[in-house]
Amino acid sequence: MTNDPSHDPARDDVSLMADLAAGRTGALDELVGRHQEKVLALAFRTLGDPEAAQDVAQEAFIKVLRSARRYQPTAKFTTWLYRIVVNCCLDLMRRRRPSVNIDDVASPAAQGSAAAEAIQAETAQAVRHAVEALPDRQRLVIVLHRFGGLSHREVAQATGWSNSAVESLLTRAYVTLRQRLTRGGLDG
Amino acid sequence: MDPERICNAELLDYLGGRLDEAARARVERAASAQPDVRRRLNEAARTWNALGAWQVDVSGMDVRARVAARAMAPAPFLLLRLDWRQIGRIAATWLLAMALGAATGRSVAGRHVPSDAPQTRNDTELLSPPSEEALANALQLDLLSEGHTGEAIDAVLDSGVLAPEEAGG
Repeated sequence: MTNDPSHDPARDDVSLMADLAAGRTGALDELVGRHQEKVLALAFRTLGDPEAAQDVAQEAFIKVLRSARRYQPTAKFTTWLYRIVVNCCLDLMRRRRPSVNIDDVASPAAQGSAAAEAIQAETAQAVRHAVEALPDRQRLVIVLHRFGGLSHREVAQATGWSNSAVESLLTRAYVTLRQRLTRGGLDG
Repeated sequence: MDPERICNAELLDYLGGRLDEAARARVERAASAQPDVRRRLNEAARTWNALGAWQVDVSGMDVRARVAARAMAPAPFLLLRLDWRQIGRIAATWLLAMALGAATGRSVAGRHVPSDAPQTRNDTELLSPPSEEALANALQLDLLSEGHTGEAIDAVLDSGVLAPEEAGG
């Protein structure tokens, strides 16, 4: 999508949202193209299921469309978008438990045949297991912070949880991950 | 001077490059001066780097077509396409219309007899049989208007013409 010739990087997300609010639905395609990769990665890491990740991404962008007229650019667009994605993920996690076995999900690194790639795939799988085993809220803050590139204050905005709650969740998640990864010989 | 307090979330934001220049300098100053901060930063950095091994490839996923199809499809129910303020306005308009209709109905009912059932004291009187006294007065008026004398009228009234009919008679 980002290779789309109609893609205009000069236009920011807020002006695209204004277009969307005015009924110019072409702006939605532009927004999806710009952000779907991060949205999909966030949902995929949170849910561990590529199909569910695509369902969540679709639902999130439809919610963007339906909320366009109420959108107020008080925070960064991506923080607002991530909040929608987080809520979609939490809804899905509440509806279906447990999530699919992440062993069933092909890892791109696991598709290689070289020994180095195999070791890397094994490491990646161990990390995925460790993150997957975290409680839902801890997993979400880790995914948003470590992989989504948000600061802990932005994570608080995206989740609607307090700064102190996010700090606590991050700290506990890192302690748990360090213990698990150290046992697996991956941390340190 | 008291050592600067650096929380774990700040250390993680530092590793993620999410701090501004002043905050970054504060963390670095604390890490160089305080062994405890340096130890925590190293621990966090090791875990941070280990997590980096988990790369996901979503390049094969593209939801543009799915989103476009959903965006073009009509919502299954009109109300789903409205926000709460719009639904509130519709509900308020509907209630106002109901209230006005009810008020208008009461106003119209006050000027007309709305049903066969007796509604007022006058209606009840109209539907009840007249008393014997009322009939006698009416008959007396009729006889006087026809020019009969008082004696003749008394005779008619005494004849029992106003007495109730015998059952079966």
